[in-house]
Parts: sequence; C-alpha cells; structure tokens
Amino acid sequence: MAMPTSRESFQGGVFHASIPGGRSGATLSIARGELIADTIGEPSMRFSIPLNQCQIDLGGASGRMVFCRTKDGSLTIFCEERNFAKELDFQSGGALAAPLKQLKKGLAADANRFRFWLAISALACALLLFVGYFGVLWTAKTAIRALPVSVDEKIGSMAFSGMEMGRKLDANHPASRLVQEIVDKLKPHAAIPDLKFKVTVVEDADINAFALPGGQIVVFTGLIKEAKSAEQIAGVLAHEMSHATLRHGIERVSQSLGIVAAIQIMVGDVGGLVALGAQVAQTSILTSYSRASETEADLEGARMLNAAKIDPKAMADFFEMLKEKMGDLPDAMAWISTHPQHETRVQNIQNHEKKLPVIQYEPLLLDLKAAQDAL
Amino acid sequence: MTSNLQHEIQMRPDFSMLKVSLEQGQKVHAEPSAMAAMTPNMKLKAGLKGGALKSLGRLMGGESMIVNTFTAENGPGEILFAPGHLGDTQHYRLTGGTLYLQRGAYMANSDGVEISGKWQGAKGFFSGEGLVLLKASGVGDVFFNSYGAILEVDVTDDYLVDTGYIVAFEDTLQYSVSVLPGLRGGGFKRLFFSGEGLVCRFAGQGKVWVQTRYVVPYLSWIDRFRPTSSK
Repeated sequence: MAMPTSRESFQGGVFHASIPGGRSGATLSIARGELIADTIGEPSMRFSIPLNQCQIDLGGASGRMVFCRTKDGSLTIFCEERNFAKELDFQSGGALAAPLKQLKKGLAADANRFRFWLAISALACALLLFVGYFGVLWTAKTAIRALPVSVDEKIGSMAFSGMEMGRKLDANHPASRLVQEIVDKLKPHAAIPDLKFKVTVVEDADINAFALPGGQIVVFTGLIKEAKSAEQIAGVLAHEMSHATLRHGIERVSQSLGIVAAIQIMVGDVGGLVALGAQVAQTSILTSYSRASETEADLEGARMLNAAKIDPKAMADFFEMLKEKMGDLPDAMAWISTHPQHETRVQNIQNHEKKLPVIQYEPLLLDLKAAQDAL
Repeated sequence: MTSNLQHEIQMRPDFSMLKVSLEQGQKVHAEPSAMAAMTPNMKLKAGLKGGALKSLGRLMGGESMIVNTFTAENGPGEILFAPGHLGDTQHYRLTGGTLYLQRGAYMANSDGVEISGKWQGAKGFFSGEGLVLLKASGVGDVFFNSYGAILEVDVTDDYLVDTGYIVAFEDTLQYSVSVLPGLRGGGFKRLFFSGEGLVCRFAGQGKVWVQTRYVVPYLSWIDRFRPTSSK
C-alpha cells in the first residue's frame, strides 16, 4: 500500500538517550508511514517511529503538545504546532483518531473559555463606560445646582449683549413701564428671592418673549400688541421668569456642551463654563428649552401668578388664543414653535391651578390699551 | 543562525558570574545593570527588544522592558555579567523549543532567542508567583539565575515543587498549581499556618531547575535579628 508523504515539516523535538543532554529540537516530517525527526544542530541525528507503533499522549506546559512514543518509551518525538495533529491523523489513516479527538476537544474548551472571558470583559467595559458617562452627567447636573446664581447672570448678560435684536424700547415707554410693573408684582414670589430681573421690550412683530439665564427677559412688541389683557402678558412673563428661577438656561448649557462641559463643571472651571455658555447663547440654544423644562416653567409660572393674586387662567387663555391664531399668522408663531403642544399645556395649567391655594384673584389695574396705542 | 556563545560560569554557586567571550560582530543581550565588567570594544545599545507587546510581557514577568545589547566591535571582546542577588547562574541551549522562567530569573541570551511573557491566568494568580511567567524561545543560548544554588531535576513522570523554589522548566512538562496533597482537606488553617502550601505539579518528561533557597523564608528568618527601632 502506497503511503502518502507529508508536504509540510514541523518544528518539534526529540527525547533519546543518545542525544547529548537527552533532548534536542528537531524538524519533523511524516513519510512512508513513519514519523521522522531530524535534530537541529551539528551533527544532525535522525530518529523515526512507525506511525502504527506511535503511542500518542498530550501534555506540555500548554497542554497542547502532542507526544509520540515508542512502546518501550526509549524514543519520544513531540510537537506543539497546530497542524501537526491533523497531519498525523491524516497520515495514519485514522489509527490515531481517538487521542487526537481528545486534543481537539481540549482546544475547543480553551477557545470557549477564552470567548467566555472575552464576553465578560467586554460587558464589564461597556457597563463601566455606561455608568461612567451617566455618572458624570448626573454629577454635573447636581454640581450646576450648586453653582452660584451669579454664574447664570454672567452667561445671561454676555448672551444678551451678543444677540442681534430689533430696537430696544426706552424704559420710560408705556409698554416698557407696563411690563416692568408686572415683573415687579411677580418678583416677590420668585423661587430665587434675590434674582435681579431685567426686562427689555424689543421692537419685533413676532409674538415672542424669552428669558436668558440670570433674569434677563426680552419681550417682543408683537406679543404686547396681540395680548387681550395685562393678565395674559403676566402669564407669559411668569412663565419666562420661571425659566430663570428654575435655572433651565444653565442646565441647557451643560446638556448641549455634553461631557466635556460636565467634567469642566465638576473640576470647578466656572470661567470656562461661562465662556462656553456665552458661545452657546449665540446659537440661541439657550432659549429653546426641552419640553420637560417648558412644562416645569408652566407650572412654576402658575404658582407665581397664584401667589401674586393673578388668575393663572390668563396664561392658559393666552396659549389658547395663540392656537386659534396659528392658521393666519404662520410666521409670527416663533414663541409657539418652540413650545409643547397647546392642548396638553392648557390642560396641565388648569389641572395645576386646582391644586393651588384657593384665593380671590384681583384684576391687574394696568392700562394695556395705552401701552398698545403707544407702539 | 545558531550562534553559540562561548561562555564560562565562574565562582559557582554562591557568587556566580557569567563570562561571555564574543567574536567580532557577535552580540549578547542582557537585563539592564547585569554588566559588571567588559573589554572597551563592547558597544552598548539599550532598547525595547521584540516590540511593545514582548516588552510588556517581560515587564509583567518581573523583568525590565529594556534589554541591553552588547556588540563586540573591532575585534573579539569579553564581558562579565553578575546577577542582582546571591546565587547560581545556569546556561540552557534552546533548539527550537521553549523554556519557562520564574519571575525575574532571566539574565542574558544570545541572538535567536526571544524573551517574552506568558500569561498564566488563574494558575499564576493562585500560585502567588505572579500572573505572568517569562518565556524564552527560539534557537540559541539563554542564561538564568537563581537565589541559592541550582539543582537540575530530570522529571520522567510526576514531580512536585514548592512554587517558591521553581527557577525554570522545559515546555515538554505539563504543570498545574495545587495545594500540597497532605494538606488537602485540612482547611485553610493548615494551608496558611503550616508554612507549606502551594506546589507545582509537573507531569511528563523534561527538566526542572530548582533553587536551593527561597528568599521569603530567608527574610522571615533574618527578620528576628533586626535591631528594633528605638523611636
């Protein structure tokens, strides 16, 4: 029977008493049914074991070394290469299948164990990243609440001076005076008592008003013109003042700046935060709050109105009016467009109002007509 | 390729010193600060041999990442290496296989030999001897040192060695770390208070080098004679 000859040679070794030291590295090959080892070094010695006399054993430091021994144990040829076992199996025509199968099983178990630990470590890494990321964000949010309000004020005034707006009305203008009087009335009931509210009326047809961090409030003439009552203006102002007292602006800064700002806040780099905040303000992100923040401001606004003996219903009324106007005033809807769904808002405000202390509301004794005429 | 280093290990075993004689252009690699004396024509070059991963492996195996390379220039040269502590130095000729070395046992090698780390996993963790063994492989000469003298043991079947006394072993030996058989079942108390405990069980055919002293018991013995501070 013609025996196949291996095309490959393998790096392995030999144990035999005739070798100095008893052991040598060798180049292995399989030919004519024999496992042949040629020792490395001078002079090279040749050893061979007929495959049908091979006694296969596994071992070595790695547990993957294949040992092929003669029956009397005087000669051992070994190899650790992966393909060696396969070649040995092939050349022996399956005679060595049983011990080699055991080797394969061992290798598979090793691979499985490796995959298991790989998965575990990947999972641990992901968890660590996840916890780390949200941990930092959460800590930053908490840290922001601990920042002095003066930081809000700095960001607010920097943003205000950097904004492009229409002509600012004089403080003595009837419209400015009207808005100022409402703010004065609401101010004592603000959640942050010593916040310096500063209100500016700006010539702009949009029905819009916004609050910057620290109490800078801007009201557009368009809003004053469309208001049906001074109470409605009070409603909008209470809402905007609430954004300032609830510190939504600075929260927004931290959100839009992400993890870098969060870390900056945590290490106490307030100066860097103010500069970044002012930059963000230029892109008007400061005045577009999240839906949750808007709802929060609605409810806080209603509380302020109630405390100032102004009917919070006026705030709901104003939204309702805006909703009706939406059809024929598409480009004047700036204020609305950034705000949540009206029906829910109105509903929310009305529900919240029921929970507020029942008091006798007093009408605002302000001349809205005169202010509107002066515009 | 099979550069044979002409060498002589002197003053054995306590204060051994390795003398290597190099032909012109021949190289020897050694751990930093091992060089004790040399002829002036030896040129020193320090570097991370075998790349970042192999260097990291050496670091984990209790060695320096840096390996110094000495080359004999303009004629033959001679160099003397000394281990950092008392003890013997052993030569081993690699012929394509691998020799595993205990943490810190590596001293020098010829061209053709690569020194790297071998992750042992749980085996290393429980042996108390570090997670990584050093691995010398290739074709060439490697020199390692011990604390105390070195005993060469020819293992033909099973053999147990306390983990603290292993210096090196051949790749043909299967090894596993276990509690000394007599202690098994004796509970933790015996394991921790008997002073005996973890052993390496070698199986198969190959050589193990065992050192005649282990530094930890020596330190606890000498500790009793230390003068106590009068503060």
